[in-house]
Amino acid sequence: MVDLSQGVAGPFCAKILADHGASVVKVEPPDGDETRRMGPFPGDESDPERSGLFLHLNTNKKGIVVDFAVSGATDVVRALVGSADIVIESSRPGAPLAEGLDPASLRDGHPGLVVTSVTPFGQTGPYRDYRMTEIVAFAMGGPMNSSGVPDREPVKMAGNVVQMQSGATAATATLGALWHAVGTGVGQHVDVATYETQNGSLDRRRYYLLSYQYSGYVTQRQQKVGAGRIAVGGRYPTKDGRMITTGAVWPTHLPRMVGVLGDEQLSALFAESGESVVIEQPGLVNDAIAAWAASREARAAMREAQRAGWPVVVVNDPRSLLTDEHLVARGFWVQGDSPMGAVPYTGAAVKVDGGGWELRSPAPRLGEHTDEVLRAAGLDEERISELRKRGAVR
Amino acid sequence: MSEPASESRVQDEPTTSDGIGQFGPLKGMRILDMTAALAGAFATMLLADMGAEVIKIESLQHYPTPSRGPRNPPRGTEAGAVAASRDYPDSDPGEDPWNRLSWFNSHSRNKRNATMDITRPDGKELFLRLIETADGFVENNAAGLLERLGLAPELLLRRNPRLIIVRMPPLGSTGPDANATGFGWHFEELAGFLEVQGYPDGPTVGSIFMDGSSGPAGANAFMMALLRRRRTGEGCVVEVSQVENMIVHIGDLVMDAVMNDRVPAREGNRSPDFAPQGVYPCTGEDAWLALSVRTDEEWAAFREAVGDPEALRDPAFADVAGRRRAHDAIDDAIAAWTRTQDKFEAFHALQAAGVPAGPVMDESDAGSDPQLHERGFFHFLEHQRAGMHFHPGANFTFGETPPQILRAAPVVGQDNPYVYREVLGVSAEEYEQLVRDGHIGNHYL
Repeated sequence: MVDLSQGVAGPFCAKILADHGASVVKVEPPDGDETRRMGPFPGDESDPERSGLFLHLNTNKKGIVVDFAVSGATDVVRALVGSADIVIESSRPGAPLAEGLDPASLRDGHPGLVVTSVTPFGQTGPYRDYRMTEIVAFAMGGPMNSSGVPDREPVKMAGNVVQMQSGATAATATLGALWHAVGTGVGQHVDVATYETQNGSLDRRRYYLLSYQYSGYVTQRQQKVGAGRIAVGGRYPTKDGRMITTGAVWPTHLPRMVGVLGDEQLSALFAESGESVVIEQPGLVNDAIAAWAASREARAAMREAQRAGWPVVVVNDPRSLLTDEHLVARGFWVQGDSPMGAVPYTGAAVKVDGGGWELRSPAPRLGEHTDEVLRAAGLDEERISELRKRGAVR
Repeated sequence: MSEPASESRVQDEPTTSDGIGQFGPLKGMRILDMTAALAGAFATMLLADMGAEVIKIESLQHYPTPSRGPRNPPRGTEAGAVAASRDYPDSDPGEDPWNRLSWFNSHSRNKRNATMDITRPDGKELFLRLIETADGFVENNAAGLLERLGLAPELLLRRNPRLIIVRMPPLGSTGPDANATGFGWHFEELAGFLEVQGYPDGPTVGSIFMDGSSGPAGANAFMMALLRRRRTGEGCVVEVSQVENMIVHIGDLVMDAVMNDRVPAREGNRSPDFAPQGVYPCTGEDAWLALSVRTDEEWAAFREAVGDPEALRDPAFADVAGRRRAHDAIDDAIAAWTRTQDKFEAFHALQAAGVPAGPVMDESDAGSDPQLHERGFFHFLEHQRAGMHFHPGANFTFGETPPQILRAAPVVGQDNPYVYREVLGVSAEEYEQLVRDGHIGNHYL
């Protein structure tokens, strides 16, 4: 598999396949994938070998640097493509990395090849040349209009999750096309538009769009916990300095919650007036939850509530995830090499017959595997050294 | 047929006229769907759009609220009732709200629907007979539900060794908290999302991202196991831990915690890499434009596109570090411009100048968007109980084996005649008995 893509979505698509065993060559320009210039960095100091985003997105790939401005560079990529089943690319429609590397030319002479283009708006349509970043993707394609609180601006989701989800969808389509190719020998061009992956995503945009067609309803920003019927619930501090969340407390969970809390006043009121206690005396209910939480460690509170069928969980953040008991016990974190030494990487969220996911190598350093990849593609030492001398590869 | 020669169906392919299961790369694949709510259903939708014949199995004895909404939604003019009614055609839940619900109907086009009570021995046997004809089985119920139903994966694989079973428990099937339950909000907190999502000065904001990320993961799980089956000839269980899958989507933020031993800052709409970035108010009510300036070249282009106002000319803004330092002041100057602009006109003007920008689009904007319409994203489909509407289509397009959106969502049990008579080969007499026994029908009991 050849990964010609840059940024987040295309490389994430290739990462999913690489993490599950595909042999992937990542082709980078001389200054590297744009994510090498995006953080996080150790100490917030930009370093193309230490971008946390790049290191995450490019595990298990071999890296080669090609300068398309130098003649002969395109031939190198075409040689790699010659033995590939899949190419992932993210160039602007009509503006390939170099002549001969557009999807149609790539497939020319390789009838079985799958070429997946992962682009902002797709290969056709009036927006096809338009640019996109994470926030633009969410603004135009996702439910950003209903994300946030009513009296403030809409707000985006964490990090780069929209573009990664788009990449995961591209992996689905790529695997579909690969299945067709292995069965029939016929490859094809797959066109994945981040814009459509978001408008078609479920929870929620997809069903909001149909609700609008059904009733004309346009969603609004509203805070989801702590208002109206669900005036109780949310986050509560625990005695170990952490937090739990009850989410919104649903009517079916109320009796279980009241039982777990064991607060005499609340139990009596609940016995008398049932679930209306939540609406009439939210302060009392909140105080009872807060007192219960404050006397317990977060994980113990979670398990006590869960045993009784009341959904309570510990609140994590990206750092506390690394020591989360459940994740650690499952072996989710996988130690791997990096330019900063051994670090934990996210592990197997998908296990095929219990396995199939492996961290074989960290993301490549810029040009780390250029010689190795060219040799494997059948180029002799003389040719490689000639290409290097001219700067076609680095 | 896309199926390679080494693959052969367990029984002869029944003939149908609606075209479901007859197109795309997964032509000829049959997948049974016992999903709840949205995550698993999104996964099977992606597979159905690639041509798999997806049959959702329901039981008339067990009303599936998470999938089909409240059985008796509140009606009337109270705020709660009005809010609930928006998900039904003409804001009317009708006599059979379960058939008219947008959540369910948005992902169920292209799928089939059949009923059987799998909690009874004869229903279980019918289900197992169906399993024998299937390539895949997808479920995202609470951990252990299949086992409690007496339908453990080992049994299913005994009946059909080539079956691919996709399970999508929120927290996986192992580990001390595997049985913990909750809604999306809970799992987003467990996955560390909310702490890094929302306004920098609070509050945090939930995104309901889990189902959206679980769908592709579930579909990918099936596809990878299918490719493996081609090699080994064997089916297997594939497990998707939905929370872990979410965490993979914030792997860059986890790297920040790893490298810098800190909780990444909650940036709101700003970016640690680009400046300025944000959403800015435009003319009209609740109208916003999102934009990012990624490079100094884009900054120059941006200034020119907005008329190079005095407030943006400070030489300190020439590089990203300077623009980040002065982000508040730059935001004010940008907002002064956007307040005079229509969000769509500003979008096209900035994009023409090479600046990534886009309007915050609501459902009405999307419904009339020229890009989506020109690319054929929406499909005008007639639903038996909901009427004719534009439905969101496939999330990808293929050059050779394009997705087809053939039919609106089925009503409960709509495909019972096909599934029982054609797939299972049940006689007319037996069929009537199964109706009397409460396996087959179109109304929840």
